[in-house]
Amino acid sequence: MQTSPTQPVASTAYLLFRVAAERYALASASVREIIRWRLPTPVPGAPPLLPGVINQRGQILAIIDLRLLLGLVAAAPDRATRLIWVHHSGIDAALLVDAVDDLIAIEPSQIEPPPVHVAGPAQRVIHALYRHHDQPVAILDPAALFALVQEAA
Amino acid sequence: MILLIETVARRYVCRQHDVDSVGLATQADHDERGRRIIRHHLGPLLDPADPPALSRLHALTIGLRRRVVEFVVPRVDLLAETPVIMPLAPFLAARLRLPWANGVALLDDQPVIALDLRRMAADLALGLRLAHA
Repeated sequence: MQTSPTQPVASTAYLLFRVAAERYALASASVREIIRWRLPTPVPGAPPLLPGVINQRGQILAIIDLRLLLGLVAAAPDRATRLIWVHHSGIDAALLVDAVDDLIAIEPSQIEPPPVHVAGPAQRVIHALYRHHDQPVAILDPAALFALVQEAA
Repeated sequence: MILLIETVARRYVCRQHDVDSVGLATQADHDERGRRIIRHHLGPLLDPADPPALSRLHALTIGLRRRVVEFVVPRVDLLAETPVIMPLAPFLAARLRLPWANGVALLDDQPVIALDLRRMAADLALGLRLAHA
C-alpha cells in the first residue's frame, strides 16, 4: 500500500546511547528499562563478554558487555554507565553501554542503509544508519545482537 | 532441599541430593572405601577473585566410582525455605566453558548462582577446570 503525501508518516521511537566514541540506537519497542550500573553476580565459566547477572524487580538479566561484543576494549564503569534491558523474541538481557543519551522519533525516510566500510562484529549487528545533528548513529538489530552473543569467541 | 554455600567472597546454592555428605573438612587422602579424595577450595575454583578460606572448613563430599571429590568451604546451611531456581538464559548457558552453573536463585533479592556439584565433581575427576584455575 502506498502512502499518500497527505498522510502522516509513522515514526518510530529509538533510544540513543554511546559505546566508546560511537553512537548507537535501538528501537524502543525492544527496550524495557534503563538501569543504573550495579555490580553483577558473576557466573562461573562465563566469558568476559557476559560479566554476570542482576535481579531487576524479580527478572534475572544476563549482562552483555556491548564494548566486548563489538570488538572494543573493555572500560571500567563510571557514573554514566547504564544497562539497557532489552526484550526481543522472548529473550531478555541487559546491554552494558557507556551512556544513554536520548529517546528520539525517527521517520522511515531518515533511515539509510548500513555503511559498507564497517568491518568486524559491528557489521553483523548494524541494521541501518541515521544522522542525528549530522553525526552518524548506527541502528542495531537486537536479533543479530543475541545471535552474535551465542557465536562470539 | 537446597543448601546455601558461602565462600569467602560469594554465595552459591546447590541441591542437597547432589551431595553425599556434609561435614568438617579433614586432611585424609583416601576415604574408608579406599577411594582417593580430590579436595578443592570451592571459592577460588569458581572465581579467581574469591580467595581460599582459612577458617574452620566444611566439606561437601561427592562420591564417584573410584574417587571422592570434596569441596571445601567456610560455611554450609540448609535453607529453611526452598527458593525457586530459575534456569540461566540459553545464550549464557551456551557460552559457559563448563556447565557447572545451572540456574539462579534469588536470596534477599540478590542473584545466587546454583551449582551442579555432581557435574563439577565428575569434570574435576577428569582433570577439567575453568580457564583461571
